Amino acid sequence: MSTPFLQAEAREANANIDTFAYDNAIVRKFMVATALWGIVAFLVGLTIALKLVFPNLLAFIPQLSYGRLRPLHTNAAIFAFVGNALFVGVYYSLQRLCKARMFSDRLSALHFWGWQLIIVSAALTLPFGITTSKEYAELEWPIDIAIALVWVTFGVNLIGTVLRRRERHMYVSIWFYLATFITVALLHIVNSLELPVSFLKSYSMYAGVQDALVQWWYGHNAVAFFLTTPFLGIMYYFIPKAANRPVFSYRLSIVHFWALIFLYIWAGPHHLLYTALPDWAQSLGTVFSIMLIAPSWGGMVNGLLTLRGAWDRVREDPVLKFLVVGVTAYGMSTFEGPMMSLKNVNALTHYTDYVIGHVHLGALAWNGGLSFAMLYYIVPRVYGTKLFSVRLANIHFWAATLGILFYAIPMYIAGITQSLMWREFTPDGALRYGNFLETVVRIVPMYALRAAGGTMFTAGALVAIYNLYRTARMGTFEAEEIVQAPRLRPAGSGATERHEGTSAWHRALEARPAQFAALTLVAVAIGGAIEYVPTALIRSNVPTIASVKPYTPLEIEGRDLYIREGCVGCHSQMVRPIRAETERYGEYSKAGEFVYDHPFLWGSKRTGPDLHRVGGKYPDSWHFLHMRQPTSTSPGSIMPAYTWMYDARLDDSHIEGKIITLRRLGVPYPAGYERQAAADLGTQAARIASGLKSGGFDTSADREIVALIAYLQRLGTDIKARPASADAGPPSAPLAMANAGGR
Amino acid sequence: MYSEILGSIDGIAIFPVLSLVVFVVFFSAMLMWTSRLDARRLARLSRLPLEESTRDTDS
Repeated sequence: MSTPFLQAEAREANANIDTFAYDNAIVRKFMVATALWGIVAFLVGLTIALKLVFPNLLAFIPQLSYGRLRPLHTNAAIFAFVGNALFVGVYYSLQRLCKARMFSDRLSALHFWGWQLIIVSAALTLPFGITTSKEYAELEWPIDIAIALVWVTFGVNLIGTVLRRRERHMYVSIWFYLATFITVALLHIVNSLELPVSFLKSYSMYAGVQDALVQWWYGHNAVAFFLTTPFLGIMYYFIPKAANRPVFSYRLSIVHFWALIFLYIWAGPHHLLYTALPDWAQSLGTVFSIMLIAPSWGGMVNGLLTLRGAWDRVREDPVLKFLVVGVTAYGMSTFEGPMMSLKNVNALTHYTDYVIGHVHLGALAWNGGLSFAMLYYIVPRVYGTKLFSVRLANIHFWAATLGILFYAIPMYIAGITQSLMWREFTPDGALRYGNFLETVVRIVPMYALRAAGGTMFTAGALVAIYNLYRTARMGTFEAEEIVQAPRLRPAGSGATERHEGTSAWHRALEARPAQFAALTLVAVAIGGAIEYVPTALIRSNVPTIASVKPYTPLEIEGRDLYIREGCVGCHSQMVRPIRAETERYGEYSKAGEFVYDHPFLWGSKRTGPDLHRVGGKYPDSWHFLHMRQPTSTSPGSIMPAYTWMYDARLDDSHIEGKIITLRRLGVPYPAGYERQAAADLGTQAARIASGLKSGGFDTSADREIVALIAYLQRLGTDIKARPASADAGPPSAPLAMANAGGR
Repeated sequence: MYSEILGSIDGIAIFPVLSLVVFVVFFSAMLMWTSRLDARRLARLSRLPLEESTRDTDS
């Protein structure tokens, strides 16, 4: 590359050489945290995987029940493992791409310790049932505020470093990092709007359909801007470094960036196909999801083609192996995702283990693969040595790759098998597998295989950590890496720029990260606004069904117990307008039925059956027996027992505050009702308890189980009191799936 | 569901049209812009990760 421009540039630069140091200490801190939290996330995941095979495993400890550990696992995997890994990538590559030390050591430390504190507070609240129940946003409001503050700390440090850079152009990785900061801040704040009831309890500002739309706008784009864009930045830095050749096409990387951040944000509603979400929003989500294949695959191809001419090295270098498998898995996931957002495919895969396989392909291979590639790349370099054992790294590689296959393939098979069983009819038109459990028992062997795959992946990660530890022991850590770089000249004075005259405004934009970030914000805000504004305009009373009433005080408490125990992790509350579902569960769910649901509890997975029409389906005594020992009413059930709810006294001390808070959010409780709420709660509980007692069941009105039964018996019953109207067919109305889109 | 919930909002029909227009304009502009970028400059930029600051061997 010894062009006349570069020579001229070098002559100009010689006069102004700065000597400074890269901060490797902060990179090491984040690397240790990545390894530590990674193992925690994998082990919690393995525990809940085993619980699906052995439901009684650790069943005596409420804090370790499946419903409470599942959000701990997802939060640990996303925010603790992948979160710390993305900070490793940003803190390492940003300093080198900017030829500058991080903006402030103090902010770096604040960011690191603040983030770890948030993770610890998640680990201390989620097992105790302190959760908002919104997926990947489960943490309660004080932690939400802490997340916002720490995220801004990261952002200031990021932008500050970019402003102090000694390289005029912001390399494409930095664009991805800036987009990550901006968009995650926007998503987190909008989705976390909630009104506190007490120090650790709040209700979402949104209800029902709106809450679902905002949540999946967040949920989908958390995948985009927390699990994808920072790792694309990492890909664009570490693949060229590891392969020692420039990226295949820089032009393609520019298209990749703008297309991806612009398109991704529109696709959120594909998580809500066939739900009570407006159809136009569902279709918008599908169309943009399909279009997303283009930039995603553009990025994947750009990453893989960077290795052209260097493929022989992939056989020997563990860093390249993990990068190649990671980027390939990214390509597979980003093809699978759009396919699953087609309505007919979605009807098959949604609520099943197929989705679990899909997300783990992304999390373990793409995020995990790139994270371990980074660790194998950085550790030897900052310790000034070579990797302790390439053989161990290869063992890790195969354990991880085979572990992912043993995880994902059984999940794909389980998902498709179960879904086909759900929708299979006899020639007479009845469900062939009318008992949901028949479809569960069939796939338990797949759950066992999945646990084996997870064990292999975790074992591989432990080998990696040992290998990296021994590597560190062999070398000497260089906390301050002293380097030299020419000072940045004023814009427009460089020889290179004079020769490359075109597109001055573009260079100007790149020279100003704040403006660049603002443009990024505009790009993501357009899709967000078009998707969100029409739904926000719906006044909550527009689709109201006259017979839908607010929950009673006891039902509110029962609902909060449902949230505490994480029931939403395994049970949906959304009957789709598909014949197989109306046949199994009853009338399909209407948007107007959820107007008082703060938060919505539609769920995204049916490990157990949908519960939206469970109210009145069984007597109280059935729920009483079932919750204490699920197999007593449902032989073969893999649901855990909730024995503690029979001993624990219901804490109704906040019922007044809950009524006031919900009224502020628009639930029409009459003025002053909060003073009557406790008495009403007692009356309803006494009625349920006396019914149970008369049936020979030993309980008292003040137990948690009574409140939960009250809530379950209320679910989906309001609509049954409604006079017949045009859009409410009989419960078994065989709505053809093809017609569902045209309602 | 469209007519059921959203029909009451004034001017709702503009949203799908607006989405399409924004989308087409955005992509046409972006593709035109990237196709006109200077190839030599792009070649230099793509080498940025490989041209890091030199280690200070004296210290």
